Amino acid sequence: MSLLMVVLETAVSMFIITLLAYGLYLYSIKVTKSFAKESKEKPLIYACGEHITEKEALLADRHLFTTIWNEVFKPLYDSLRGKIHTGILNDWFFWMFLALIIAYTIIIILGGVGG
Amino acid sequence: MVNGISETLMLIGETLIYPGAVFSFVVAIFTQWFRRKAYARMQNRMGPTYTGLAGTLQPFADYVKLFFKEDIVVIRGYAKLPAFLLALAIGALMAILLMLPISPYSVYAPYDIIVAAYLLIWPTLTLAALGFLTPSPYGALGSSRLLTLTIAYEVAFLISILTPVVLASRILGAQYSLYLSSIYSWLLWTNPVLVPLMVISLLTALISLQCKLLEKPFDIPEAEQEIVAGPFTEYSGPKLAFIIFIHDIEQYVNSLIIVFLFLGGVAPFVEGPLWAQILIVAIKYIIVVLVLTWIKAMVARFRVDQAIKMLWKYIVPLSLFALIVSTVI
Repeated sequence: MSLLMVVLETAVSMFIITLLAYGLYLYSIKVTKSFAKESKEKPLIYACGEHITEKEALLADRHLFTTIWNEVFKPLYDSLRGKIHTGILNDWFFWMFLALIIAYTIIIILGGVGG
Repeated sequence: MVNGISETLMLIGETLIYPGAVFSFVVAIFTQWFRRKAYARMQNRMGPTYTGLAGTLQPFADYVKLFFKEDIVVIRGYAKLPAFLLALAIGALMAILLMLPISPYSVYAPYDIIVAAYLLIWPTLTLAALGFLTPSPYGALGSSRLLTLTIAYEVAFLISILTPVVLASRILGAQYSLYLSSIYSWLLWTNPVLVPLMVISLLTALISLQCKLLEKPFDIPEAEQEIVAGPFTEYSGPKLAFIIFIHDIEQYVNSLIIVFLFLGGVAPFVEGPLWAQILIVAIKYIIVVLVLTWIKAMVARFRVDQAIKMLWKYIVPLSLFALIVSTVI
């Protein structure tokens, strides 16, 4: 059997189960609508026991990308931040100069900007 | 032509009955019951006792109850998209079963471990997407935590299961296939040089699987004291039943992968009768579930940074070490 056949057969299997499960879901909501009383409470948004607005409920998308840097990798660059932001201009120049040298070195190693 | 039709019917039969939908549902019920019972006994509680013999039908009763409860959709939430995503995740997990030796007509090819890895990631992505499909801060926070954990535990789990696959392929000619590696993996335990690698990758696989299942100490995305139920907070009725079912099926499929890749599958009854092979696989499966439950009962919850630190500092390097050594040995 080729890898393509494995992909196809697993895809067919996945498709059948997806149809089955989704069909069961549709059947469930159809059946429950016939005897369940529609809830009025849950459609409102609660947080900490209070109603909140939709705007308050939504987190900014950027947290999805920045949380990991802010929370997990912070210790890795936190000490560097303290050394750069001492309030002394020469310290800041030193680190910027170092960053520039590193950038130039990488560019030269990669073959320069002229190709 | 006849051969092609019979193969197609076999595939459909396997998908719907064994080892697919019907069989998986039965095993999911048993697994949930066993886990709840064992967890309760470890905490000096009784666990399920009322429905069925020793409470064996309690998970089934729970599924039926949830299935016929109202599907409440919170304002600005999606009604049918989460259900479709959940159905896809269930489909992905059941498709992996066709690639394991429990399937009578196994689907396999060289390098199909890539397909298995792809299918294994589906449920995680689905569960993460659920939180972002509701306007709930708990859901968004839970999903954010889940995605943060994903970059550690998925890496660790995939590297861990790659180690026996690489070893079986390089030494025993398993061609990087999940099915062939599962069949030959018991031979890896007969070589004393490979035993430490197998032990290391087994340990890392078990710990990363605990994280994959969002069980203690890694239940950070659904930490109920902080963020209610995380990504699942706003879901009820049939969708919640699907979420619980995915958890059970994920435990079933991943535990079976560990049984076949690390614990030797049907060994020591490779040439033995079928009933003995089924029995030994069932016993090994129960042991894996018991170990995972034992870890859950024994430890408290990590913070997200502690979990990430532990996974990246110890589990990923250990699993990577085993994988690198297995490629050069």
